[in-house]
Amino acid sequence: MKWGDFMNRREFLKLGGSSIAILTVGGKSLPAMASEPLDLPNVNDNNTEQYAVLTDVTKCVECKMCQMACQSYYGLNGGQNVEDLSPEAWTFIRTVEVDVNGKQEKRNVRNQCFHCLEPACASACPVGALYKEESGPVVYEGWKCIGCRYCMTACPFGIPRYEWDSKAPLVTKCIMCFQRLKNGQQPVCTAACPSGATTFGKRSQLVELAQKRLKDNPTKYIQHIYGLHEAGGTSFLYISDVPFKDIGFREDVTKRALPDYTWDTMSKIPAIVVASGLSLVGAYSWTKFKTRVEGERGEDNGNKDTE
Amino acid sequence: MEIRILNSEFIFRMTRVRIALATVFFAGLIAMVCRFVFGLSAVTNLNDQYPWGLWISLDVIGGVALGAGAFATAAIVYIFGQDQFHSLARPAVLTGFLGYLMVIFSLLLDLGQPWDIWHPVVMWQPHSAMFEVAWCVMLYTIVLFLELLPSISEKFGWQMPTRLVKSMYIPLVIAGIILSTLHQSSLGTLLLILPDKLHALWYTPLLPLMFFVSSIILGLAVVVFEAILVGRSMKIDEIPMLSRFTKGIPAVVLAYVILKLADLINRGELSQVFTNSMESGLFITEMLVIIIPAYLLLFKSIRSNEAGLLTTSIALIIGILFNRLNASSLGLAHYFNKVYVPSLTEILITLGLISLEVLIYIFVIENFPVVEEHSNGTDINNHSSLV
Repeated sequence: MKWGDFMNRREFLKLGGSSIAILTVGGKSLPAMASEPLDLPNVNDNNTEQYAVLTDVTKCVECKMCQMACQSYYGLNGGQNVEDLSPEAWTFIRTVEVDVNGKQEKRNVRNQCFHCLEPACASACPVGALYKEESGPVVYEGWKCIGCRYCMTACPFGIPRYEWDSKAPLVTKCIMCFQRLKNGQQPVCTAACPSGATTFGKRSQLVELAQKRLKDNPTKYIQHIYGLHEAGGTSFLYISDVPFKDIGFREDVTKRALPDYTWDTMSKIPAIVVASGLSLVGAYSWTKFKTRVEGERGEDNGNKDTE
Repeated sequence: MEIRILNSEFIFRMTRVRIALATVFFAGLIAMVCRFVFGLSAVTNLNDQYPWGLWISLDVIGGVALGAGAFATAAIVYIFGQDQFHSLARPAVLTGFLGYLMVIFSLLLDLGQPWDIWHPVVMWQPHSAMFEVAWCVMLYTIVLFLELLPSISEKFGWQMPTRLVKSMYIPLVIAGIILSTLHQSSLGTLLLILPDKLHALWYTPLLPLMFFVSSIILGLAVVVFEAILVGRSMKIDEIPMLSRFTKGIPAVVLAYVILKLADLINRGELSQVFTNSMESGLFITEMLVIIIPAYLLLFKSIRSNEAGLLTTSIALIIGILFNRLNASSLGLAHYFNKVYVPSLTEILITLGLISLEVLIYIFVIENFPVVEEHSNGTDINNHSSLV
C-alpha cells in the first residue's frame, strides 16, 4: 500500500466518524481521546482560536508515519532514515539515547517548525514572504522571497532549511498543512499518527490536555510544556518524561516574543527622523547665523581700518 | 603605462599595485561567475546554521559602515560650517557612493534570488529590520549619487545638473545624514532578533546606537586614510588640515568606549570581559585596536606626521570592521559550538570587489574634479600615481 493511498483511506474513514465530539473542554473524555487522532474540532464554531499540535514524547513508537505522510503528501524524497530537517524532510523522528536513572533508554522526538505565535521569521522577512495564518500555521510564499535568509538567522529554533544546491534556492519548512486546515482537515502528520503521540486541536484545549497529563502523572512527566512560553509561545507543544535538553531541545530560548526585540527600536524610527531632522536644521541655521554675524563684524572692522 | 579609454580624454595609468589589484579583481570575477553557474553551495561554506557568511558580515555590514565617512564629513563641513575641511567632502562622498555600490553588488551575489532584489520596493513589511536596511541602501545610494553629480557634470561641462544639485545641496545633505543615522543603526537592529544566539558581550538593546556611533569613528578614519593617499599622489600637503580634522576622533572613541562600558555594567555583563573565553579575547582585542590609536591621536606629534596618521587610521578601520565581524558572526560561535570559516572563493570574491572599488576610486579621482585644485596652483592633471 502506498502512503498516498493510506492517507486517503484514513481521511475517508474519519469523515464518516466525524460527528463524534472528540474534544470536550474540561473534559472527562480527554484520556480516551489521546489515543485517537483528532478531527478538526468543530470548524463552524465561532472560536477563532489558533490550532496547534501537541506531541507527547512518551507515546511515540518510532513508526515514522508522520514523517512519511508529510513526504508523501508534499512529494519529498527524504526517505525513512532522515537525520536532520532538510528541503526533502520538513519533519522527522530523531531517536536519541537518554540516561534514565543510570539506564540508557531510547526516546523518539518529532522535529519540525514550531509555528510560533509571534514568529521571528515572519517579522524578519523584508518582503512578507513568511506570515502567520490566523488559524495558526506559519506559511511561506516562495515567489516573494528574495533569498536574504534573515528568517534563518532569526529563527530561535534553527528550523528553516535552504536549498543550497539549487540555482534559484528557496527556504523550506513545515507549513502545518495550511491548505488542508482551510478545507477542514487536520495536518497529514497528526492524521497519520497511530499512537496518539502527536495530536491536533485548538491550542488552549491541547494546553489543558498537556497540563492534565502532567498533573495526573507527576512522577512520570517533566513538569514543563515546551512551547507554552518559549519564544513567546508556539503552536507546536511538547511534553516529555526526560529533560528537554537531553532530547535535543534548547532550554535557553527566550520567553519573550522575538519580534518585540526588533520592534522596540523600529517603532522609534519616526521619532528619530523628526528629532534628527530638526536638530540638523537647527544646527545649520545656527552655523549660518554665526557666519553672518562674524562676517558683518569682520566687515565693520574692515571699514574702520580703511577709514 | 597609460591606458587611454576609447580614444577619449580618460586616462588610466597602470602601476604595479594597480596591476596586482586588477589581477585580484579578475580572479574574483571568475569566482563570481562560478557562484552564478554552480550555486551558493559550490563556492561558499554557508549552511543552515550560518546562513550568513563573510559577504554579509564584512562586505555588507562592514561595507555600509565604511561608507559612513560621507555623512560624517558632510555634517562637519556643511552643517557645522567647518569650511576648512571642505576639500575632504567630495572624496568622502565618492568613497561612500562606491562603498554602497559594493554593498549592493555583494548583496546580488549573496541573495538566493538576486533578480528579485527590487521586491522590497513594492512588497512592504515595515516590521522587518531588513526592510529598513533595503530602503536605506536604495535611498542613500540615490542621495550619494546626487551629491556626487556636480563632480561628473563639471567634467563634461554640463550646467544644469550642477545648478540643480547645488540649489538643493543642504536639504540633500540633511536627508543624507538622516538616512545614514537610520541605516547605520538599522544594521544593529538587524541583530536584535538574536538575543539567544549573540554573545552577551555584543548583544544589547543599544546595538543600533553602538553601530551608529562606531560608524562615525570608522567613517572619519577612512576619510583620513584616503586623504593621505590622495594628498601624496596630488603632491598636496594635507597633513596640517588632517591634524586638525583628527582632533575630534579621540572624543568620539571616548564616547563609544564609555557607552560600551556603561552598557555592560548596566546589563551586569562586565565580568564577561574578563573570562578566559574566546569571546573575551575577541572583545578585548577589538577594543584595544580602537582605544590605542585614539589615545595616540591625542598627541600633536602623531597627528602631524603622515606615518602616525596613516597607522592610527588603519588601526581604527580594522578595529571597527572587527567589531562588525564579531557582532554578526564570531559572536554566534558559542551558541553553535562552531566558528564560521569562509571558503577561499568567498574570500577571493570579497578581495576582488574591494580591488575593483579601489581601481574605480583611483580612476574617478584622476579623471574627474573630485579633489579640489588648491590655491597653490597644483595642476590636477600633473600628479604622481595614487598607488
